[in-house]
Amino acid sequence: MEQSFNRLALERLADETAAQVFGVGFNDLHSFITQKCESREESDMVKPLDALLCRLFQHRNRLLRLHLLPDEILLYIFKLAIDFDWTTDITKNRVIHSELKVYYNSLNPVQRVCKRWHDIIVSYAPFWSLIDSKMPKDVIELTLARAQKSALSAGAHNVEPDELRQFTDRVLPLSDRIGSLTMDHRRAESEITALLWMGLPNIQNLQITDVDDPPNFEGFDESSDTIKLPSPRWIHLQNSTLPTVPTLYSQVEELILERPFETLTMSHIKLLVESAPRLRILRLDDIRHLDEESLGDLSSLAILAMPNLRLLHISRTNKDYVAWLLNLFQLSPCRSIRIDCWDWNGSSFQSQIRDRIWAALHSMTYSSFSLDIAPWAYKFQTRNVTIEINNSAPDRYGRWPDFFTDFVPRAGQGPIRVYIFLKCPRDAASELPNADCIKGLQNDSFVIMG
Amino acid sequence: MSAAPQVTLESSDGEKFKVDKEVAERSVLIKNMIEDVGESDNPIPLPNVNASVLKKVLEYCEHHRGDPLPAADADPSNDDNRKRATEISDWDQKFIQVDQEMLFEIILAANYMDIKPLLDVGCKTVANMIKGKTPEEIRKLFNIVNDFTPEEEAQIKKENEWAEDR
Repeated sequence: MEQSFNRLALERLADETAAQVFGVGFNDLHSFITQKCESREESDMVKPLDALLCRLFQHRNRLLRLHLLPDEILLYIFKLAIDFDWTTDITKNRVIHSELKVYYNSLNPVQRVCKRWHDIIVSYAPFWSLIDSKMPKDVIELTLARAQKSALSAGAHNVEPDELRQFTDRVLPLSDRIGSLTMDHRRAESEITALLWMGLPNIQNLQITDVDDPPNFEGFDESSDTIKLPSPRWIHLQNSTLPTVPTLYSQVEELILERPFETLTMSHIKLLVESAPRLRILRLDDIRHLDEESLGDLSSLAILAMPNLRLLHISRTNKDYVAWLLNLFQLSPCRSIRIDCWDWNGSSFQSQIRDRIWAALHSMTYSSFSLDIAPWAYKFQTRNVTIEINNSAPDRYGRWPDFFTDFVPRAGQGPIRVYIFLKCPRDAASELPNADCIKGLQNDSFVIMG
Repeated sequence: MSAAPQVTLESSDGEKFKVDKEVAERSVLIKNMIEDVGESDNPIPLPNVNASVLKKVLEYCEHHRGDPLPAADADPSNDDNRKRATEISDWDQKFIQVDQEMLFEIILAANYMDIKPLLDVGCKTVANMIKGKTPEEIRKLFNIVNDFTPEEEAQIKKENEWAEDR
């Protein structure tokens, strides 16, 4: 209480004094003085006074209740307040390089409030772990100084080839610290790309966008001790050619192929199966489909085992390609399969893949769900179900109460859990399914979100 | 049926609060103290928390007495956790509608008493107050004075010019 009284009294006194001397409130003194110091002479005269005032202001700020919070709590608040997602490692943030200026701008308002806030932001090294070919040279140096020894994420983007070469020269000596590389460069020469890849062997996250000229590894000796290719754990290839160097996939746990330049053929799939034994997550998005002739007879395909594959998401392609892919992979290790294709309709397609999925799944995340095809989706036998339902209108079908009538939990031990991620019109909420629909299901194992 | 075990907490200004042990143990600090010292009739002193703040903290703990405790090793990169980054439940929002002095006192108390969910509610509330505001608006909101020298201010501006130029 005493501290609170002192602060208020001090503030009042400061305000009164400032008003008597300068005719403005204490909080406005700083800008008042800055405005008045237009000439150099005046500025030199007032400088000592200004420095004194700044020190006074710092003391005054320290008396605020807000500034009793320790640095780590203020930092936590700043992380929450800054629009970017700070709860995750930013070097794994997949879009952050494409919004680099927005990202660094988001730190701006907070660091400009006062000295203490500025010092907290500046001294938190992970905030400064992004360097990019789009940044001016002096900014890169400043950022590197602030990043201290933290892991770095490097971005090589659409800049002039000379600038890209300069950037490459700057980052290569930092190779031990660079854990992520994002390339988005239509004009990147394959020699430079190869130089970057080979010079940064510690990359754990690799995102390649719009690179149609894959690295030229001609003459590259994989057994060489001096030159090593990276073996990232996370690879995202977008609108790019699929590199065919097996080493690149040797440690990969998550692979995202989005709009690859070429059709994903049997040889590509085999490359992944043979080179990526640790692959757990495979997302295939907007992949070009083969024509019916190239797909061949589904029944003659040998099933490829990927023992660690837990999540298979296939989206934006046609049903024949989905069926082809689902018949290629051994699905039994999968915990989640998401399928989203443009031409769902057709009972033959559903029956083609239904048995494969039913036999394999422990849980299923299923998008673009419509009740027209609900029967095969909700009948599969399992103890744990995760279903994502989009664009459904239960009132139109009037079938919510019977939604899980045919749900038969797989025999075995352990609780039965049903999670529904619901994205449907608000007015349908009153007709949601409930746990009573499923025999033996506990209420606390039945969760509807959305 | 035997009554739920209770403990007595003593605020910095000497006020005593008798609460269910289950409620008090939402605080990891108190839980550890009880474990270390064992059951005792002596009040547990909380020298960093005054009575009005402790009353609010206990109101929170009482409301959330049955909630699952946050896992120490919860994965913050989990999608659900991320979605919830600045979301606050309706009850918590009403609970935390207090003046700034009390808000910061609650955050300090939650930090001292090690009540992570309450600390989160407090920090999220302050974060939401900061979000989308200019430095000047933030200063005004929290009564902070700009304590940069003009040279420092110019330097910060210069450092950030490249990002502002879109």
